[in-house]
Amino acid sequence: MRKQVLLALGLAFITQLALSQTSSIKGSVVDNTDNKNLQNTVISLMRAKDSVLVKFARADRAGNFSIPNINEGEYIVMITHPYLGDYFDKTEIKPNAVTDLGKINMIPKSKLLAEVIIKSGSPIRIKGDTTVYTADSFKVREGANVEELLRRLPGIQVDKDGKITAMGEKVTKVLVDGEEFFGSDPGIATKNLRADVVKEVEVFDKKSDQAEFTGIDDGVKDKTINLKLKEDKKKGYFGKVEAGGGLADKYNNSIMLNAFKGKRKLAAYGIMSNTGKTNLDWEDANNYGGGMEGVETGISDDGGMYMMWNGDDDNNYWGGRNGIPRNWNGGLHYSNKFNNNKQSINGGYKFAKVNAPGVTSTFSKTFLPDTSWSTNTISNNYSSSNKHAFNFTMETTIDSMNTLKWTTRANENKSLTRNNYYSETLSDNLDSINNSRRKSNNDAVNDAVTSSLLWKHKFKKISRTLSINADLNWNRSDNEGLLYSLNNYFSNGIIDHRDTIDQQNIRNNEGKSISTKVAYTEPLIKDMYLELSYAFSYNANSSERITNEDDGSGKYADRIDSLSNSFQFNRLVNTPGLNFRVNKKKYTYSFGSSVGFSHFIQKNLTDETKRNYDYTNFFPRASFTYKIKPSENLRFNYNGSTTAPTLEQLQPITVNTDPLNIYIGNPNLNQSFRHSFNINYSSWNALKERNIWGGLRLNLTQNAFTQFSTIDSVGRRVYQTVNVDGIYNLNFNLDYGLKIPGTQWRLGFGPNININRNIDFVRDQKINEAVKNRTDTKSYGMRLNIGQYVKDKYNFHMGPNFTWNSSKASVNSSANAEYWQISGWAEGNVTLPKNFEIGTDVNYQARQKDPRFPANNNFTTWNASLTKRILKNELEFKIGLYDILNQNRGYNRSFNSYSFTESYYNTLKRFWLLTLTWNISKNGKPSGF
Amino acid sequence: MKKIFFVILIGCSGVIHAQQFINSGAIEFEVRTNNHRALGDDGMWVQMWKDKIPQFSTTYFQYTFNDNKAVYKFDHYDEKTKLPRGFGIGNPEDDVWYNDYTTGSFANYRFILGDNYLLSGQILKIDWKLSPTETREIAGFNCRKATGVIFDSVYVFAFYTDEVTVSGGPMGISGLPGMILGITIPRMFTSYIATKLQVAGVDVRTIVAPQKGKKKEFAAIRKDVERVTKDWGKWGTQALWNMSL
Repeated sequence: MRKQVLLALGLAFITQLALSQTSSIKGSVVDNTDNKNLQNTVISLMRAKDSVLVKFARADRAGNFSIPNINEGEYIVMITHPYLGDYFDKTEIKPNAVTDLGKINMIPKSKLLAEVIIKSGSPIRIKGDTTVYTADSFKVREGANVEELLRRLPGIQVDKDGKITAMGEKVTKVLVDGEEFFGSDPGIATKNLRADVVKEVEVFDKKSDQAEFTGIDDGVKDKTINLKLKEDKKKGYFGKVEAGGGLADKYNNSIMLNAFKGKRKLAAYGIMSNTGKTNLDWEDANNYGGGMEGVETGISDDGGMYMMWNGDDDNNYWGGRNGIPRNWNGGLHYSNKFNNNKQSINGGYKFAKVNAPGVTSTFSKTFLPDTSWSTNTISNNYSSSNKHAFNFTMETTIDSMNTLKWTTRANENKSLTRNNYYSETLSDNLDSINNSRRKSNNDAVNDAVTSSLLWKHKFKKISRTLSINADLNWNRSDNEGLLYSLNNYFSNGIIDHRDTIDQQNIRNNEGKSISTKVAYTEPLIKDMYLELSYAFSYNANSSERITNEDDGSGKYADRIDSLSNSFQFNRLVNTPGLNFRVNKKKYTYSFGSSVGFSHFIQKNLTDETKRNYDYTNFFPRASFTYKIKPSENLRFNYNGSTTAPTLEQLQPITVNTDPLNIYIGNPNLNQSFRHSFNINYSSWNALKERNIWGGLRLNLTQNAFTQFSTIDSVGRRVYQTVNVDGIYNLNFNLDYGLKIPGTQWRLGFGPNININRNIDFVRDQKINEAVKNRTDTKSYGMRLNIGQYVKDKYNFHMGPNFTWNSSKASVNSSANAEYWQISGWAEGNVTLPKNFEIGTDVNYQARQKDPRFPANNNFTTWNASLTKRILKNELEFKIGLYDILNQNRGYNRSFNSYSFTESYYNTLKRFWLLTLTWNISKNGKPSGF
Repeated sequence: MKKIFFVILIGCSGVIHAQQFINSGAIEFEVRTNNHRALGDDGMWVQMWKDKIPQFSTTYFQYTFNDNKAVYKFDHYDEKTKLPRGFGIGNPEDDVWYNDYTTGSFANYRFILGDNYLLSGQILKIDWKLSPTETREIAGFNCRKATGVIFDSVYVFAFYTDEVTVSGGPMGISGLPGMILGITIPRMFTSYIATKLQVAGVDVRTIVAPQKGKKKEFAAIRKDVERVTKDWGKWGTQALWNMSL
């Protein structure tokens, strides 16, 4: 309907134009002074009322011109020629008439110049000059607005209507910190801003906002006042207080506040909860927790962007799985910028206490070449941890060529665990093989400090850069615990023997490392670069394990020598490297290698033996990227890397803390070497709202670390880490998303394949023969999702996943398993009238039953909530029901070479929570958050 | 009754050259964007990136004109201020603007939101408001200022010289009595300023309409872009303006 009206109006307008465009104008230009040829002189016709160009023409060889088809009206005729003075004339075009301007005599500029100079007593103008008033030098009354301040400034007048005149000219623009303040009406800023927030008043000519950033004078000659505010007056705060309680005895309370003042931000938060909210969520972490501190962004060598998440476990206080946590968290964050943002500091402190009681039970089956058995365990545990973490980052831009960044983190985690454990191993005909009752506790203190300094230098020559960084790391872990274990071993179902372990375990680890890397890039020829690097690192690690037994007096004072050892492992590595890189428009590639010269020293302080050995490793790398389109590229990447064995793997000691799984260190371990191949493809089309991402990854490991297990007739396992070749992992992932044309529906498909080969060794003491066991696990899956999102109305998403799993162990085909796994989720929320919002989500998990485990483990969790907001969202009431069906289950199924395990752990089940949230703010949330 | 009411002196170059009017040549445009302003202020991602990228980026484009037709295309980056891939809107490296000022039509090869298109349509009509007394010298030419509004509300400040008889300009901006040698579009945080105009030795054979790309009417694709970018906020608007120039 509206369209039709517009169309009709448009037609009428066009008809009108057609009818009236019958007038024309003509004339000729002449140069009486020099008699020059005036061909190409421009004759422009502007509307008189607004100087809008209507038509233009150029004069012909004889100087004649004509402009046809003009509407009637008032016009300005402008005639210009590069070497002649401009001619302006006002003319009225009558309907259906030819206006003849006749002969127009153009005056050469040279002549004109002389006339003007003689005549004019040229007025004084301030051009490009800025007058600056310091606001505090002009006294105004308390609470006065900027208008009152302006009245006091010499050279500036403000009339009764608020019109401002500066240096005799009308001020048309008032800016605040160089920006327009709610539009360009000068009065809005001057009437609404308080005088005491203003640091300086700047008055200048024609530095319009566009000229300011482009450096190009666009010719706007506005008299402008810029009010520069005091940094400390840009202040305010925002935050929220959340109180939640519900049955049964559930609570979730938090308070968060961020106070800002100029560039300074100070934020604090506190949380106490027993509903699984153990930390700030993503959004809150950004607002109150200095959440971005682990994120690093930058520009990669080949000109792309990167974003890195240094996922430190500061933010992960609780694994989120085992047990029902009760937690108290707090944090403080400070950041500031100085000197025009050239220096910045950023620091914070976090505290978390998590108490988590838990119950876990497992059912597993183990298959050896000629025998099999099952094991059931139940564990009652309680853990409590207290963590403190500090971080500090300082960045400074020394000049345009040099930047320096220093980052330091320190944290301490004190934890205690208590564990009551029972396990029983049964043969296939349900005869006991062994059982074990264990009680243990452990107190641990972990401390760590890392510090890193990075200096980046750019040279005058483009792309020539130097960067040097130095890292220092220190960590220490002290553990002390008691273990009491009563173990019964059976033979043909009849008790054969029993043993008791009653000991104190002390373990102290310390690690120190210093490393530095120098990298230099030299542009060779256009688009080709040479990168040289040199890295040096030194690691020193020590581990002391002391096992004591009761000396008879109830004190753990007698050392058990066979279970005690003190060991050191030091590593010195020098790594020079060379890399070529070519960046072309359509493709980039790079190849190179570094060589690691490593020197290892193992010292067994207990028996005073020492072992030195050296490795030389090549770390080749190559990558190739083909940019098919700006929105489509293909990338291939290879690199090789080594992993040194850990001290725990090397230390030659028997660890009997699990008497049925005894670990012995292996000081003869070699380092492992991994080849990693990657192919990625990505493509997007925003117009079709379609994206594809695909990746294929192959990792091959030489000298990989694996386990060598020896199992005796009573089901006791002794294992050691050894090296093996032939371990690989192949992974394929595809992600395809599109919007169904003409609808709001978005669809996603994600086929994925994972193929894994693991190799380990098992020796069954009964046959006393070591068997190499190859385990092939495969999974083929398909992720699907579909969703719709309409801003401020509703959103709905659901995604079923289908996976087929298989596991095959060469040692015994009875250990093989194949099963389907289906999981699905759906979520949606709807915004209702009167600021109500309703939301719900459902999660479903099902696994094909395994005949070896008869229990049905399918379950559905369903949550729903209703929210009401009042007082412009300042207050929020929410009632939430969690796990409405009371089916939530902690469950996991895992395969491990020749055994597989189902585990159950207690987890949060049905509860409801009523939450009141109060959002507070003063001066809002500034930009930059 | 004719009355001269206004004579103003422009420039101070008193020397008169026996120079010809120019109807064929090549112009190098220096395109400068204020990246920090373009990123805006909202969000910490923006704050983080601001520290990593240069405040201004400069790119050079070549504009070749002859016989009232012109081709405008990317020439090179200023390596010092080059943005990382994926930043900024669009990707101009392969884009070609071809304008035929006689017929008032264009044929552009443009990369738009994931694909390369061959766009056809009518050259943007702009109501230019002249400020003939405000002048600037660009690339040695005396230019007059004109102000126009595009896309309903976006101001364009242009400087043109009447010494060039082709009424053209970079991208699709034209319609003044001469060649536009300088443009500033404050709301797109970008300026286009000629650094040199070469008259001799210009290969005018390069002025041909592009042939490759998915054929599409400009009006149709603009509608599509408008639809998908409407929820993108500021970025959407910038993307839409960018493709429409």
